[in-house]
Amino acid sequence: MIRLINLWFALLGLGSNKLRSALTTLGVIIGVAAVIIIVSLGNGLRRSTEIQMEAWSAGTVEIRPGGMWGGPVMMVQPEAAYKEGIIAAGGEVPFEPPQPAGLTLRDVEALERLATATNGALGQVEVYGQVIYKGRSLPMGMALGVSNRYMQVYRQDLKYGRFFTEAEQESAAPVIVLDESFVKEVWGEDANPVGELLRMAMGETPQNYAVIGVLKSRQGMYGYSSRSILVPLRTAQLRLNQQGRSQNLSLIAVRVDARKSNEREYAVAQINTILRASRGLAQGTPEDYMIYDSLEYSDESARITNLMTLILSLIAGISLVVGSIGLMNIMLVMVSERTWEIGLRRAMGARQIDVMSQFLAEAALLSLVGGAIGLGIGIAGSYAASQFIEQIKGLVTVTPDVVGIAVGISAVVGIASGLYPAWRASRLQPTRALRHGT
Amino acid sequence: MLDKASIGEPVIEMEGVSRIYQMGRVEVPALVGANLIVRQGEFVAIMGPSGSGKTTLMNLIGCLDLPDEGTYKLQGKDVNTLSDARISRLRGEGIGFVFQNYSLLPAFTALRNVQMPHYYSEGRGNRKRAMALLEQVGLGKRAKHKPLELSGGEQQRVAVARALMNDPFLLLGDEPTGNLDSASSHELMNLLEKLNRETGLTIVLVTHDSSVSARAGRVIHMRDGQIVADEVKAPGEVVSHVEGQLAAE
Repeated sequence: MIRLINLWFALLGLGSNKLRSALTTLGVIIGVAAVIIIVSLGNGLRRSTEIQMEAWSAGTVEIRPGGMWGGPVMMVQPEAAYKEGIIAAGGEVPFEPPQPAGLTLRDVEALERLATATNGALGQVEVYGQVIYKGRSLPMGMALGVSNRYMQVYRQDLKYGRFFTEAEQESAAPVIVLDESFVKEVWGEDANPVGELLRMAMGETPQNYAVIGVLKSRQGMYGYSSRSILVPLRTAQLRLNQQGRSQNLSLIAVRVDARKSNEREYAVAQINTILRASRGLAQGTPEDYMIYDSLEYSDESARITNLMTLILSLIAGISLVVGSIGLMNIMLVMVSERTWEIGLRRAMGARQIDVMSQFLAEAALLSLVGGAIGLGIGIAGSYAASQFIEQIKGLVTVTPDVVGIAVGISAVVGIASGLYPAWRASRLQPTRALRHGT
Repeated sequence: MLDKASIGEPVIEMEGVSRIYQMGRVEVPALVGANLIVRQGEFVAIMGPSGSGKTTLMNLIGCLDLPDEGTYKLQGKDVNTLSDARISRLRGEGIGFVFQNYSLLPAFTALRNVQMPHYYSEGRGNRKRAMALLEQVGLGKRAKHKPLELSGGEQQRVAVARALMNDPFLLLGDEPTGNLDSASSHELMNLLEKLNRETGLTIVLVTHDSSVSARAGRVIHMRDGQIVADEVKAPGEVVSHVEGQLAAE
């Protein structure tokens, strides 16, 4: 039977040497606070990376035509641009990349029809050219022609207006959907440009396009943000056709929602099988396209962040170990300093277990108080740090499991560092202990 | 109330008790083949030069140490057969200790120090009894003082009150007057003598102060780990000796 009175004796024992108790606790405080801050900041960093990755990759699998430069590209017509006064006479003509045999809408349709592990496929072409708003040339010179699956495949949301209708796709209507960050650059923050006209020199003659919608911006990886101008796929293909260019797709994007790597591998294998069939590739011939799983990069990056957090946590853990060694050291000093007290208590009827529980309680109290203070400092420090570090602003949360770990660790530290000194104290021969005092 | 001359039941029974200390590779026999019977109500002084084994004997009597050889029965119980918990209980409830260096806990008041043994006998400190004991040793007004605020004599009287807390059957003193001046020493001896006479408390003291041993009813002399003399005085002899000494002072 363990008597509760020993806890009170422990409290008084600590109270009689406050400075030493406080200094001993300091080691535990620093250790626990360091662990909490580092784990919390690590979690914040991981969240931030995850969010960026999510925005960047959005879990799509992308298929590009084989060859260095991807799909068909239509360049600005120098004559047209000249007529509009966009480029000076004799201005440099952008270079023309090679055009490999491209992907077609047939491939997209095959994926839509046959693939079971995917969730929608999108075809896309790129049109380069000059964009003019109120006579002023805008820095963005590319439009993406996309099919109506765009919103689904890239998990996009609208801020203003609407996306293309089927009818607009079919009729190759001159309509555009813009990205929020593009809008911000041209019209300013939170402006609603729906109904405005943009003039684009992308076809035979410059043509007016009506803005019908604005997409919510997605902050991309490492500051990358898409400033796309979207037009219906058919519209872009028509412009390409007017120039006698290939209408082949420069990109097929397939939505794959599965997150586990084996499920994704299965989806990629399925996509490959369907594409090989739809493109009529004989067995043994190499693919004339390439498949990229964007989530692979995200996995890699998460692994790096996790590893970093782990290493930092280990370093923080070392400070906790140092703190606990300090605690054990002090407990051993206290035991040998107070041998006469131990002997006296034994003479007054204290059992071995009484002596042991008193000293164990002293160590546990020191460590728990240290743990509690360290927890407070750790939480405050985590939130303070998250205020000052831009990348993880608002993303740092001290989760209950971190708190649990910290409190658990401090309890374990207290017991582990107190156990041996307490055991030594309880095994002291009362006679020897008493003689020590005289 | 017991008449001083009346012979009680044996409290301490030692038969062929030896205690050998291991000092590295060397064995040091501190006590060799001690035979001793102390009965209830006796007032015994153990005398002898340093290293004669008297403190070892004392520790064995108080169950602070266990014999290597022989049997020791305290109130009829063979201590070598008891568990730590049982021995601790026997020690805490049956034996009161008074040490040379007072051994009060400095963080506690006099009252708390007196209450202490009661906490270990699973009690709640019995404040009333502790207070009464402090009054009995003449320190009722000093109950709230901490040890460092008390004189040596006062501290030792607090220690006596503490030793009496659990109403022991045996009081052990290890040089209880060793650090006291002669007036305090005299006062303390009066207190112990009174306890012995009035309540029949068995008292065993280790001392090399002859003025202390002069007031005991029985004096045991030790040398080289052995009991060499066991001298029991007649009641009158003790008193006259004390009176003679008082007259000399």
